[in-house]
Amino acid sequence: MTRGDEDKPRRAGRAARRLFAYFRGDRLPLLVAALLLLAGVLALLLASYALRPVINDYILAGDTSGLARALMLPGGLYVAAAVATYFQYRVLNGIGQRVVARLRADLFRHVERLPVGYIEKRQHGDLTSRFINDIDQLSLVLTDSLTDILSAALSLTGAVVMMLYINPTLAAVALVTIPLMALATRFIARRARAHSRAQQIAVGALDGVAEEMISGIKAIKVFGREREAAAAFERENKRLEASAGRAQFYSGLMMPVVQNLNAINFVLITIAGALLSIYRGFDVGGLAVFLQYARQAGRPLNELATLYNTIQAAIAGVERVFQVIDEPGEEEDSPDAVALDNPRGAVTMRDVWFEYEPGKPVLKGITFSVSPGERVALVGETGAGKSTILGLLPRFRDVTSGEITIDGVPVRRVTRASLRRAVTIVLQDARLFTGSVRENIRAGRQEATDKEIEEAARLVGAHGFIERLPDGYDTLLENDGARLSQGERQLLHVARAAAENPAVLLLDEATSNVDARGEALVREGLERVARGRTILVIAHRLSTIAHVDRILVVDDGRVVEEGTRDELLARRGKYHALYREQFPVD
Amino acid sequence: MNIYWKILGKYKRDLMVGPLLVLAGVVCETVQPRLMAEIIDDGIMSRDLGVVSRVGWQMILLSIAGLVASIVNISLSARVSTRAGADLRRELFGAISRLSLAAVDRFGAASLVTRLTNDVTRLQHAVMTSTRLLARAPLLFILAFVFIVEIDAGLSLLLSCIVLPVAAGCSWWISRRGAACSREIQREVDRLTATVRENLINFRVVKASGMEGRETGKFSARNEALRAILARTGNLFVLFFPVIQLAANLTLVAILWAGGLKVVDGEIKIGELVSFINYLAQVLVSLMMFSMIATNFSRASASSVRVLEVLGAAGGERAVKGNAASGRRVTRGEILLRDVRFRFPGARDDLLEGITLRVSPGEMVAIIGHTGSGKSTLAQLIPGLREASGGEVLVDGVNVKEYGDEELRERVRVVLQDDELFSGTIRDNLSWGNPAATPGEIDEATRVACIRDFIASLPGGLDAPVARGGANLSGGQKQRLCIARALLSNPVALILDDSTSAVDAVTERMILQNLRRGQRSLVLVTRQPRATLEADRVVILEAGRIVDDAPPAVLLERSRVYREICRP
Repeated sequence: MTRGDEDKPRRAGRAARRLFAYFRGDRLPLLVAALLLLAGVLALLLASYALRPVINDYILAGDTSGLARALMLPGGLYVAAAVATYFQYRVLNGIGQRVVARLRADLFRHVERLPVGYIEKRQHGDLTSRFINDIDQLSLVLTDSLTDILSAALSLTGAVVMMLYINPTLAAVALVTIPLMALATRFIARRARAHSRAQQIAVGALDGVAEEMISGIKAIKVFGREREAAAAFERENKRLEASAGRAQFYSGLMMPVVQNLNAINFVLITIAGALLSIYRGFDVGGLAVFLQYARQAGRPLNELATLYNTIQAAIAGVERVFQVIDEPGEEEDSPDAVALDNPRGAVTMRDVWFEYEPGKPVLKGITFSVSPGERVALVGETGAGKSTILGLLPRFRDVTSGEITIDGVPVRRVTRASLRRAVTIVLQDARLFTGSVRENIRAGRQEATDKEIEEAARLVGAHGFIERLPDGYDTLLENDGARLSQGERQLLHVARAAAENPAVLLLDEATSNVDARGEALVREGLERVARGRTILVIAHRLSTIAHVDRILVVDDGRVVEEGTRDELLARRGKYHALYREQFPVD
Repeated sequence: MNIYWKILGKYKRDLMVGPLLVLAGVVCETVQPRLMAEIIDDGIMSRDLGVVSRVGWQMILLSIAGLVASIVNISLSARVSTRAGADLRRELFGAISRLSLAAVDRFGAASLVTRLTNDVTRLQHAVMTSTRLLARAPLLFILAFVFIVEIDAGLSLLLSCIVLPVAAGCSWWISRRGAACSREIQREVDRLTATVRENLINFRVVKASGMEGRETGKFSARNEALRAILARTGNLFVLFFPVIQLAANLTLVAILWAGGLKVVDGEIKIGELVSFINYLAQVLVSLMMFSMIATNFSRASASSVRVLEVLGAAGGERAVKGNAASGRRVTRGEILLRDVRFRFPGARDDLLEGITLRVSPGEMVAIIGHTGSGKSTLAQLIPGLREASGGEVLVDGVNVKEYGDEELRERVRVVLQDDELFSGTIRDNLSWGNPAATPGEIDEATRVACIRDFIASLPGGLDAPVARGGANLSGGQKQRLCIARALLSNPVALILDDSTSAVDAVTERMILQNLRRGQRSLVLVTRQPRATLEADRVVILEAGRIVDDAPPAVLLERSRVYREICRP
């Protein structure tokens, strides 16, 4: 057994305890459900017991007149049990769904607070699946399994008590076989678990091979390597087949074994009951009722065994959710933080160093300053550190050393909310939100009026095409505005930025994913938004930054050249080399 | 559906033995209450110990026989289902490797992997449970019913009047309402997922513009909508169990009443009445099994749709189907596209229109254009990776369809934009181009691709490890290895689709100059103007059409577009 296995139950216990907090708003419904559960189980136990006099005193005694009346009691109890069970399920279902919704809301709230670095490193699919698949597992347990376990445990206890009450000797026979059954199920469950784990490992290996082969499917085709790829896949496929076979055998065994052992138990009780009845005058009605209880007592073991896996999966899911919730969010504002009320847009960076991994600086002493209303371009090769520089300003990440100021105040001493109101960003790969055109433009500033939104759209030159959409500003956009062209989509992002009215606008390759015609439109829109604001722009294509005031050339985490385009070209340094590469002919 | 029959057909024998074992088990199970009646009526009531012990032994032996039958059956169905699962995965993997590039792009790699693993596992699970239940549920129902009819036809009528209609009606009603609810749940889940995904994709914008509050509000609304529909659906389903249980229990009461009167009249014995009640339980179990089968199938059917979709795509749409039997060889490498048109399946517009282009042996032609202009598709048409929707693609004057796939792709080699390396060694990866390459050939190919010195510098040289997807190499190193790999099959035509984008300018020029020596035709697809200056001719592609085609010097003179690309 590895250490991880020993830790597992403890971790699972912690996760379960934490989950209790989410039930806090539902104490009364929980109490009601518990009472209903108790009432339901009790009614069923009593109803079964009421059958004893029916058989002994009426049927065997030949009293036909009283039979119908005597049956009223169990009949009524059965109805009561059904009603109680139904309402108990309903209440629990409501609680379960509320708990799950609370957990989901908590998870989302936390995800919104996570630092950029965390989300960048994560597979989006993996995070999304915690919202859906993992929480789904929990909801299954909360609404179905939990009641099943509780009612099973209660019926088991109740049935054992009734069996002891009816006939202790016969109960002893029944109770001898129950531990045997428990042992058998434990034996099988343990094997099933071990083999399931082996199966999971084999699935992982197969996933890996499948992923590699499918990602490289084009290369496989080009080189005609289909046969070799299939052979590599088949090796893992065979391995999975073997381990899955064993896992399925053992987990499939559980139910029939329990059923058949139950049946044997049943036979033993019948035989012992017959002997008791012949030698000790045990009543037939008592035996019939006893057999009913024996059946009820056998059921829980069966259920607990099958529920085990569901519960394990749910706890694993909850752990994955808590894992995200436990990630530290963005640092809180420092107590002396000030709000930036009327930002002018002066930006400085002084000897800024930054490293993603300790000991591997990406920025190595960046120093520059930008005055309000100035337009500055960052150019350099891929990986030089340009996007990292832009990301430091709205504090997506914090500097390793050095200082960044806005309007002379260090950004660490500005409240995050006001800093991000002053600075906004337009990216190359943003997606439109599902919602109306209007909602998309309003996204950055909730208090923007419809008029302001239209003004922003007019400013960037988006008003025309928006008006031509079927519902104008109320047109619903789905799947990243699938019905819009690339240029139109990007214009909406620019309009969104304009509606925010920021002092500083950051443009990270804002026109690079747009086709030639769209690019001209977007560039014009940006030109107009840029008026009177501080602009920091990254563009790979040098032709797109023709109108900036100043260019900073970034190379290997340092600003190596700085000046106007003509100055830099005259210097015949790094900028000139970049320029030549893109414009080989003059 | 055919694929399932084909796979299950292989296990015909096991699939026939299975139900026989189930039958044996069910017989053991259904005889029990009958024997119990015998113990009560002939043993207890007549105080006959001999009957008790004789029938008791019979019952114990039957239980053991039933246990053995079901264990054998489980091992059988575990074997069949896992083997069938492995078969299906094999078929599916084969189908995926036969998919056209367009289909691979359409499904996406991640989705294909999920279909291959998760979906098949789900189907396998459904087969495992259903193969047993499918036989067990009807057999148990029929046999239990036969026994109760044999005890008393009147009582059985009573049973079939209450329990069966209630159970059937209830499951029909719930499954109909449930299906509507499931669709609504799926819609809400999709909406919620979309919100989460949009936030994850746009997290920089969300933060930079302080949208967290707005998005949290939006999420809460979606979350609440999902909770409401889940709760509503749950309230529907929780009805099922209490109603069925109540119906069964009321039947029990009714049978005790009607049967009790018959016992008093001496029409049936008390033991028979008790066994009747036990048969009632068995009938109910069989009904529950039917509903389990239904849920199982409805769960598996979504997976089945996703699996069949891939299998169907593999059959329907594919790359050029070569004619390997022709034995035709590519010798010179002359490429000619004549009025070629291409449209993605299901697309409204042509991606490429009226493309006419000739590349002679020894010539180097550069194709330049914006993202989305159709350059890569054009490159993939030549070695038949995609099939033209109109016009002709000729190599050495013969339509590409007339060559065998392998011959064509070996001699007209394309290095794709997103070419991949695989886990193994550098030698393993290079051997893809030519498994029988001599050390001299490898040396030459790596020299031409300007990667020889780098390989030599690695510990282990050619036997140095390559991580999955070439993750331990830089972009430029990967691209150069891909070029070397392509050269090893000694192609007479080489198509480079943006394959030097991560290589520095000096090395790129060196590679291109190396490649030019010899009579190979070269097609260079690129977004970078610098490489086009090396070419004999430059073809400008705009929105799927060739707008110009001339030597670079001429284009600089006459083409505004080209000047704009190459000049500030």
